[in-house]
Amino acid sequence: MLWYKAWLETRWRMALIAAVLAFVLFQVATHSQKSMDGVAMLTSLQFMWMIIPLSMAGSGVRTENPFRAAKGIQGSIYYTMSLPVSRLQLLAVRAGVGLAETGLLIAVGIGMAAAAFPAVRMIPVNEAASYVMTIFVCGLSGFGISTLYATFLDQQWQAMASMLTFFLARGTIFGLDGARWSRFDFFRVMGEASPLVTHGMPWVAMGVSLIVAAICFAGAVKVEEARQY
Amino acid sequence: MLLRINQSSGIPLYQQLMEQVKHAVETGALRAGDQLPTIRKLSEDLVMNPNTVARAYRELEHEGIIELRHGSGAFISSLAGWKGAWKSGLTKKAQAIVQAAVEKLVAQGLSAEEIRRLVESELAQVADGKSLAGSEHE
Amino acid sequence: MSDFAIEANGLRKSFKGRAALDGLDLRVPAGSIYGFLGRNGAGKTTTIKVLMGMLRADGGAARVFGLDVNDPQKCQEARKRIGFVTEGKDLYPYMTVEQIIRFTRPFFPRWRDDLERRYLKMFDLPPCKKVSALSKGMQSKLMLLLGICHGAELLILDEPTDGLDPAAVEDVLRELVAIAGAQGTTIFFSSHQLTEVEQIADSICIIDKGRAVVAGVLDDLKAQYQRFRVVTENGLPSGMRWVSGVEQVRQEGRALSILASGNLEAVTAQLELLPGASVERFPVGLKEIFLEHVRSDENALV
Repeated sequence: MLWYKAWLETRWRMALIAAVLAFVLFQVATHSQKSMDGVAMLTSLQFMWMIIPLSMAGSGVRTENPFRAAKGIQGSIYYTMSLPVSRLQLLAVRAGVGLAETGLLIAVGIGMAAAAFPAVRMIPVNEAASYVMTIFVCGLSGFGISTLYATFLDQQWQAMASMLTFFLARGTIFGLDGARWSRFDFFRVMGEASPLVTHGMPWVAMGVSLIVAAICFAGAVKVEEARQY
Repeated sequence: MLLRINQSSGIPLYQQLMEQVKHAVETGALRAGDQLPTIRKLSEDLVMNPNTVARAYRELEHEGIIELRHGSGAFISSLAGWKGAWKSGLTKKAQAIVQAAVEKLVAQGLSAEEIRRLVESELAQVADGKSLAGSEHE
Repeated sequence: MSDFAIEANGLRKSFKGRAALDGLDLRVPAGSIYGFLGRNGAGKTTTIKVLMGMLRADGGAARVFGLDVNDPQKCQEARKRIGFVTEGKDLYPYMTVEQIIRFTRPFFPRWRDDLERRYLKMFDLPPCKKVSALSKGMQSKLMLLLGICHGAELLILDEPTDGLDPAAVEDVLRELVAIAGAQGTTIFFSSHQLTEVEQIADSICIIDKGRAVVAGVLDDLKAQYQRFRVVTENGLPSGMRWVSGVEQVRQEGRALSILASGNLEAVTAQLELLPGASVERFPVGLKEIFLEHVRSDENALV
């Protein structure tokens, strides 16, 4: 039933992100319809693919209620905490629902692109699958960062803070000496170095993303279990 | 049966309940064999604690006013009925005594409030002596 | 199985150096309706949060059904058997009455469908209305329904009647008394409303500055406490040494007002020995007991 509650709490945000996604797709399509093939079309959505997990990781246990989040910690959180469930369970369900929504949005996004643009349909199925997998796994790092922030920041700050952190950190680490570290750059492989371009799986970058995500999740669990309400 | 409890009077609620049942027996409002409401019913009607009602019933049984029959509830005991009849005669006499005393005090210029305070103070001493004696038994 | 539904020993909790609980002791007998009284900020809510595992105590121990609540797993075990009721506004505003019942039910295997139907009807709760659209009284009743229907052995209520009108308060109190009578549920409720505590509690604890200052069976406390009014010929002899039991002595014009918390015979004897004393005795209500213990009084001589 926690799943049901998490879904009720996040469905509007998901609808919002879906609308943004549709808008971006439309923009990309209308501005560069002629000059772009399917591959360029999808890789130009790189930022969008990252923003999805960053936003859908959403709230921790603390900011469960988006309508009241602005007023600080209070209210229905006490009802949730009074249920016989552990904090790990609460966090896991949140993350599970967020991940499912992320996967769905990516699938829908690519589906929309494929439906609207014949060029996308020209991409071989196995490459498309590698691409989707890369986006999802590399998105996990952003999802992890966002989940960690959600354990101690209110919702309106959490989304912004996680985006800033992600893009700044990534820019600093990989931007300064791009050539040397580019193998590990899990953001680059969602775009210019995606399997659609390189025709191979970016295993190293995906591994780095998973490590970042695992560290963030572990941190989030620690924060959540120590938290006093 | 009309029972009224004053929660904030400072007099223990179970004692108030006991007094009221005894009074009802004295006035004849309750007679031998009459059934009292169940503990649950009475506690819901008066919105008071069921444990407190149970305590009052236990004490009343101890004093022989009521009988608790397992499964069927509380009844005024036949002994209480007899005591009640005897007491109602006593009550009439007592009333005459109190009436005379009050008239005398009023004649001497004491106000109703002063008389009430004097009586209450005397009663509190009597009640306290009783409860101390009772606690020694426990 | 312990005779106490809740037991706390020397519970401590501070926030930023300020002690909210300062060695609290608590014993709530199973099957009792227990009034947890204190002023705002006395530590009532902090205590409840510790019992529910929302806060971790800094020191001391607390057990619910004998389970240590500082251990998250044991506390979760205990929560299966606890109905938790706070102000109704703490429910999910975006769910309907029916949704929140459906949401809550699976957490508690002993959910009582019969009680659910009964209370839905009795409280006149509209199943399809959103929680946010309910009145405060209705929200509180819904919260009470959720707490009662999961077949809890212990109800913990944090100021359950706060902000309700008198008729709704009476309804809530009646239901509490009814479930205590029908199921033997232990009811632990915090309040600063003396009248409602006096009305339905059989045992109480008065908490002040994070400590229990008075605790016990309410009727026994009332029998122990008494106020004396003494008028003497020439006031009190200087350096008077009071017998034990005298809690407070106050000058009220010519008279002395004395509050005693026991040892009443000795107190009476001592007072009657004062030259020309006339001694009167009065019963003491919960309000006086409460005020005596939570208020510092400048007029007090003892």
